[in-house]
Amino acid sequence: MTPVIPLADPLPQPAPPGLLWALLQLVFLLHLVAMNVVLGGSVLALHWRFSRRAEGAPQRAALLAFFAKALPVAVAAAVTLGVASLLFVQVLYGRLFFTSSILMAWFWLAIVPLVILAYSGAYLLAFRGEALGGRARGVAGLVALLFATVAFVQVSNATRALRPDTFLEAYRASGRGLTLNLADPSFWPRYLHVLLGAVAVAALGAALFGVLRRGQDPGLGAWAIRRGTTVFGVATAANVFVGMLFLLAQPKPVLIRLVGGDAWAMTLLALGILLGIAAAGLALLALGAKDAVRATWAQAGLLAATLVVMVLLRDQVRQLALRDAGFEHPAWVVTQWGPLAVFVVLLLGAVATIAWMARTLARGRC
Amino acid sequence: MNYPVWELPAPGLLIAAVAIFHVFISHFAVGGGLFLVVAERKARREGDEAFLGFVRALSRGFILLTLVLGALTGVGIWFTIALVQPQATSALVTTFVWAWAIEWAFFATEIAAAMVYYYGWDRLDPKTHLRVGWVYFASAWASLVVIAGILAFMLTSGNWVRTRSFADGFFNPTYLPMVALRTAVAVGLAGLYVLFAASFLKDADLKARVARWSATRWIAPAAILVPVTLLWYLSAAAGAGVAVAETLGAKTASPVVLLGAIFATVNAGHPIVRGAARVAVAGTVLLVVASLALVVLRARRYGRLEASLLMALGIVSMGGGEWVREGLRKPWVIDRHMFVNGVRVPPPPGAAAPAEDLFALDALGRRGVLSTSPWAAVPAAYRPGDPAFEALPAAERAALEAEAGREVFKLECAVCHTERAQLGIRRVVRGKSVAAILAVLDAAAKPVTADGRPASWSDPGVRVATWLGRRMPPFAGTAAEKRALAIHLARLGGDARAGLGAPAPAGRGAEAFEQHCSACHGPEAAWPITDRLRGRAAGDFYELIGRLPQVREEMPPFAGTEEERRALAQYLAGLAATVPADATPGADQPPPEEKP
Repeated sequence: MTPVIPLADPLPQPAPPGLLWALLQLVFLLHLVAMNVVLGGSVLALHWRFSRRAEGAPQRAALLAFFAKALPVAVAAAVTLGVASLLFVQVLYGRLFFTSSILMAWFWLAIVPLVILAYSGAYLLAFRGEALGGRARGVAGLVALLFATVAFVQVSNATRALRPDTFLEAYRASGRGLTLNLADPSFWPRYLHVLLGAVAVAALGAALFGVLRRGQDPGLGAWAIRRGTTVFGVATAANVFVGMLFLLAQPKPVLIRLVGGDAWAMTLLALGILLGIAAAGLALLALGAKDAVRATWAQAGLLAATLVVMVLLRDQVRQLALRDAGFEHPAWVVTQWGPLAVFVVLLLGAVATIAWMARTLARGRC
Repeated sequence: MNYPVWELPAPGLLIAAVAIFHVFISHFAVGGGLFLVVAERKARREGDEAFLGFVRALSRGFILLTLVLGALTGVGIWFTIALVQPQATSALVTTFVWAWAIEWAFFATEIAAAMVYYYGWDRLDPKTHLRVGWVYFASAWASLVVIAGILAFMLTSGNWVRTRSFADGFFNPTYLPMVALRTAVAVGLAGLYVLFAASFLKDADLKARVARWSATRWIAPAAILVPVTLLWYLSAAAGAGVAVAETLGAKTASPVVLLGAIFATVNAGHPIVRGAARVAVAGTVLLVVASLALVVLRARRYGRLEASLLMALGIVSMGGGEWVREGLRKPWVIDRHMFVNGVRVPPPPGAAAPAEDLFALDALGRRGVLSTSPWAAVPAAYRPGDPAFEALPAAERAALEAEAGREVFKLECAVCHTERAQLGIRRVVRGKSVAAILAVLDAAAKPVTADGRPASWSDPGVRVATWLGRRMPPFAGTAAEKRALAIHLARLGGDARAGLGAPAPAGRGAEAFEQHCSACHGPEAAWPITDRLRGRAAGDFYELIGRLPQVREEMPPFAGTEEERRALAQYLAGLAATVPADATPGADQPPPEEKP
């Protein structure tokens, strides 16, 4: 069907699209890291909670205790950074984002109570984990399930927002806000890609935890590095394959540009695949490496580069899809330099204040 | 109508529920932050370990409340308004993206500080811990200061209408009063929350000390500051052209008159907003009195039940207040720029604007809502003005019009009205004719100047004269669409033959009554005319029709021709002759001195 995109407001845009775009990519990257720790961490923690292997049981318990304490902080970071992403998405792509959200309004709105429940569960595990005994597994299962459901809803919205050609048909079928985007060929590969990516990031987080703790507890450090690296390698390798499926599920015009029609998009795609393969390969090689610490940091470097490329590639897919749909940013821009300058100053102040508080807390006596 | 309409049973209630809950929590976050640091400093200075222990325990509940519920219900508001009012959300985000970005910087600091404050009880020295507490409070309050600018802008957009400047919009006439009012409310709510938290204490001495401190230093000052800042806010709003007096059913916006009007029994103003105002005022007074009484009489013994009831009363009062604020803003969602249904007014002459705004009143009047909105599902055969359409049998044509009218309703009215549930339209239009509904649609909202003279919607100082204070936006669309909507509504109201053009009331007088009076005085309307006719002749009616606003100030002046006035007077005299002599006059009948 013909793409239907609501008209832009008859108001000047508050900044050049390029600036808003750069801010969106930056805050989304940070949100992605925090979100991956939350989602992947809760899935990984659940797996370890149900593990019955005697080997490494004390280390597993120590790692689980760390995850339980870290999860609420990661959720706070994910929510805070998600709010910033939401703001810039609305300014740049609100016409698509609002429409896709309305089509699945009840599910979209459900994210709020779902995250509240999951967040409360995370605090319950952090504050009362030991007192919960066997019920902690149930709570951890619920937390992981809730976060996975939130990701499911988010992927549905994100994929729909790329397909304004389906808006009208979906709305005519029902305006009651109950239409998920499950029929989109890219939906399931993308969802799986998100889940595996989150597990990989959280697993590498566990390995880094091992690196930082190896001085105080060498046994725990070694175990966490080994387990984290193994899961990271397997999940990343699987994700390279799922990523291919996700690529093939793209609409044909987008796919053609990605594999050669558009130089920048093709470069990003090639880089993304190579980095993914390199990260998985390095993880598998690192299992037998003598200097596990250096290998873990190398993996972290590769992962960071992969995430940056993936964020840019994700954006390229959006640009390509929307270009085909006839979407353009409004040309009327009147940059609000004064408020922008105030924001930059306050942001720097906020970063400095947060850094001061975090450093003060880290240096404080335990 | 630029965006698809989410069909849900009570869109307004959904926004209200999420917003009120979030506003309640977020004000706790601000006031509570101040309470924590002030209380910690007091406890440390006085070496009061028990009190310090209470503050520490309080901080855990506090971060759970603010981080989990505060932050996420804030996201919830954003989600909700974007789903129900996407057009307004888009305009606000476009205009104030940097305000929101600034608010986000404070929000991020607030979240981090709340966590460091909680986790830092044993890890930071007291001085640093207090500093972090002050960072928390300062950033939470700064968030309020920024958001208040955007909220106040929606009510009073100031010079922004002319200039589209960030500063003109943000520093608008109700900005400072709103900051002051919300700060006072935050202080009071912090006291209330502490009273609630103290109800869990087993140590009766400590409970009494905490409760007394909370009542005297937090609740009592707020009890004075809230009314004072509220009056400042209302006065600033009225000064900026908000219909404070009209909406609350008062003659002027002076405090005493407003208070009297809110609790008066007369049928004036907007009934729902007046109800909300009653709840807010009475609830707040009761809350203050009950809190102070609890502390005086049962400071050592009060329990969770009493404290929970006070909290519930706090939510109800705050909900009433927020409802009034929303009600005062209507029919605008953004003052003098956009109505609640997303329709905009044309920009003032000379204001910078891109090409024609298709969703402005004038453009919609020319092009029509149904042909402008890409989401409208219009029957293919509905082509008003087309000879083929006009030649259709009356029943078929009216059915098509009713179908098109349903779509107009969805695009223009469904953001507030449902069919049967919240603000159910079926009840409102029961027994109404197409002519009566058209008359109401015509009278729904008119642009006027500050002194009530007719104006243009693009006048930057425009105000809205609404029908019976109902604060509705004007109809936007073509005459054919208006008729289609009227037919749809009349059919919803029970007139299955609406739109068929038969049987019209006999005579010019009956027609004039149908067109000009029946919306309010029809047989099934709120004030049936038969209750008001006894003992009057045609001359009396003719004279009364000429001065309707003097008879009842809610009544608009008669808008018909001289010929219609005479015919209507005759018609009413004829009806009067059929009223039994013992018929009881209605409550709203003109007082005896009004009788000629």
